[in-house]
Amino acid sequence: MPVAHLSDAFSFKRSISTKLFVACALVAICSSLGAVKVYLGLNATTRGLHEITDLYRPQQSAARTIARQADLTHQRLFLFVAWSSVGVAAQRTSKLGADLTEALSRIKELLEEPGLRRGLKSAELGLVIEASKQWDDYAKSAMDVLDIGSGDPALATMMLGGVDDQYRSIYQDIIALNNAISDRGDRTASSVSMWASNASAALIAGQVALVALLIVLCALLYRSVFRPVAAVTAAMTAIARGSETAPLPLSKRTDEIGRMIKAIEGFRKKLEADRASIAYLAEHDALTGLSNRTKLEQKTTEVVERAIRSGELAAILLIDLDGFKLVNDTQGHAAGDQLLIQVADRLRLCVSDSEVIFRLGGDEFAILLDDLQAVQAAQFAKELGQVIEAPYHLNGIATRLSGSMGIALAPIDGTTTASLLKRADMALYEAKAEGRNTFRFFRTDIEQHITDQRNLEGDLRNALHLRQFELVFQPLINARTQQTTTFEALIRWRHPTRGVVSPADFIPIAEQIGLMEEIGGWVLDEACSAARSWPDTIRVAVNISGLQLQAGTLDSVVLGALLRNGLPADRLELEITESVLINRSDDIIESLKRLRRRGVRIAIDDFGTGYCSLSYLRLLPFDKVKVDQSFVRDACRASVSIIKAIADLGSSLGAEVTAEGVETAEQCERIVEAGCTELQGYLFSRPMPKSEVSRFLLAAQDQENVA
Amino acid sequence: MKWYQALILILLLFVPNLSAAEDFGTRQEAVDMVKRVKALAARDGLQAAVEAVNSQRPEFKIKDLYPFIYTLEGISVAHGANVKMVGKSWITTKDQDGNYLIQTMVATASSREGSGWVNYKWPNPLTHKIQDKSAYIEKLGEDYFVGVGIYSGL
Repeated sequence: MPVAHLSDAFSFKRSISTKLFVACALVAICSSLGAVKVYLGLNATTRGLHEITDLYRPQQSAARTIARQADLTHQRLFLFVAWSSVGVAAQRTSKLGADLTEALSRIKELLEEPGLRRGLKSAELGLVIEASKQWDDYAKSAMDVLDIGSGDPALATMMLGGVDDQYRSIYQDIIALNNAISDRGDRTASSVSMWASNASAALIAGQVALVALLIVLCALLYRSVFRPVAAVTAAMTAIARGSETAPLPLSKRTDEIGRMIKAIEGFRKKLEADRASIAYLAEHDALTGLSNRTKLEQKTTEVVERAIRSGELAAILLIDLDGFKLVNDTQGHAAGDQLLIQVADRLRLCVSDSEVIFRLGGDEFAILLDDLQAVQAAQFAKELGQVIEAPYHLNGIATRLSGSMGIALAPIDGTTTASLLKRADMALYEAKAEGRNTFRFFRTDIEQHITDQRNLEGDLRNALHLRQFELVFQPLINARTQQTTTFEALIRWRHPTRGVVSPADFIPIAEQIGLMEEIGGWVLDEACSAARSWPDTIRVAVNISGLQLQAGTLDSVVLGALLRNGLPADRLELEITESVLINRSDDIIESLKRLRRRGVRIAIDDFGTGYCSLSYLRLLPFDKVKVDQSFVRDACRASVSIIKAIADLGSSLGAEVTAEGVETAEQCERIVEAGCTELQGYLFSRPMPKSEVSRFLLAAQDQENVA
Repeated sequence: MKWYQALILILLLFVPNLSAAEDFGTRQEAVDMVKRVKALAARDGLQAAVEAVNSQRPEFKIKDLYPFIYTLEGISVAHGANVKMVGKSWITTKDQDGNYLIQTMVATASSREGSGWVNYKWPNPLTHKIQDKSAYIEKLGEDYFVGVGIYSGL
């Protein structure tokens, strides 16, 4: 705590507010001192001027009056004696005498006037008192002269000398008094002038000091506030422009500005970190931490440019995980995400710089390879395929995946990112079309093929709507009775320009572009509708794709089709490929079991090609197995043995065994001998349109009747 | 001296003689008259002498001679020519030459001899002109002096 206190006090001591406070206090003190000085000076000046006006001027004027009147009186005394001597009329002389008498006493009164004595120093007062006393003597002598003069002017003349002496003495006193009063006035005036000049000097000094302090204050404000604010603004502008390395000024200061700078520094660091993470997020995939598509485009441009410069080849490798969607759908998105992370980790192990691996979204990845030959790229792709193929463990469940890869080479296949990506994508498409788990280089001839495929996709989307699909039916014949038991519904696509397209060509596409459920539903509906017009003993068989099974809606779709068309459940047979049934979840098996309980028959199609384990077979609900036609066509002993084994297995499990693709009588004889209970193939009938089914049945009946 | 005083004195000089020259008293007559005053004062007292002088009795009014009595402070006690002078102080009076004549008289009376002649200028009561005068002064009692002056020429 004490340390914190100390640092607080320290920062407070050096804070701008304190500096400003001190500066303002100085300005206030300086200006008040000056103002007080000026006030006092003006006050003294006023007082002095007041004294000069109210006191010394009257005093001075009184003293002057006394001097003038005394002089005049003295002159008149001489005039009186003169008039007496020359015999001026007695009346005038006595009038002058009376005036003189009055003047003598008036001057005495003036000398005794208290106003004259006010504010005088003792010496000056002494002068006044002395003059007054002397004036008494003078007046007495003057009165004597008047007295004598009226009768004896000569004697009066004699007297004038002494009286004049007396007057001179008084006159000196009066003059001295006058001077003293004048001096006093002068002294006061000079004091007043001194005070005034002091005041003005103080005013100027105060003003100068004030101006100086204001300049200091401005300088302080500029240095402490405005300049740093401008610097901070510049720094902030630089930061806003994105130059995070721009140096922040004044970071060593400890005052408010310094603290602000530190806060900005922190803000900038945070901003930098945020920017970095935003930049990272913008270019990376959040799930796997790999770079994303944006980064790929940027990086591809760089790599291609480098390849062109160096004359080497660069490769862009697009990877699509086969079977990922299945994992996602059956084990959940969390498991799917886990799987993607594991794949990403494996990919990282395959390259030295993980920055060249990208996740483009979903289960699609890309790898950029620099400086290599096509052969090396192939080697790399092959190894990568093996790495991806190795089993994964998701929540204890072993899962398998494979990768399809498309490779485009720069600058052979393209020099722009867009063209390279497009061509790599075409190669990938090709690889997938070739049966997945493989890689393909881009070739110019596949471009056309893929364009075709793409066109086909577009047409396929419209096919249902344009009623381009149709069903054909191929009979299944009971080997013993030679009677038709079932018609298998097969879909045909009558394309306006391509003619009839085989399901082998368009079903995978339909699965890929998500049309399978829709098409499958239509097939079911259409097949049930056709079967209703047939004899009750004849069933219809419909192929169900893996995707239809996975959708989880098979129950409702099947039952809906039966209900809509009024077809009993036991007249419908669902054919499901063995390979589709392998690794299927319990849900699907349950769903099949439910349908079977309702009477729907289940057939395992293409049996013998899917490596179905016999133990697993035991768990599956089925009424029929259909032996794959490859065994039927092959006349070797091994195939015959396999057919025999399947037929044995079927009969022991209580299921029928159907042989597909029977084309010759020889084949027929062989497989019947092997134990198949049902036959299907061109030997009996090609698939026929719906309209021909009844005719075929009638013909068969006729044939039987003939037989 | 100020200019107006000079002017007045010059004017006075031009005042015409109003009376013809008369007989002037002599020095001896003056001394005698002083002796008479002193004798009267000694016999009848100072007051009697004063009254005799002020009343211008004939024995104290011979030709242009007359006695005068002052205190030693210069205050006129008796005057044979102009009684108005009595009671006034004349100690500061001076003649045209700046001679403080009363003070000189006081000094003469106060001297060891107690008497003597003092020269000065004084208006002649007969001519009303200021004339040179020579007065014999003798101390009277402790506090006074008595004098009689003669005018000499114009």
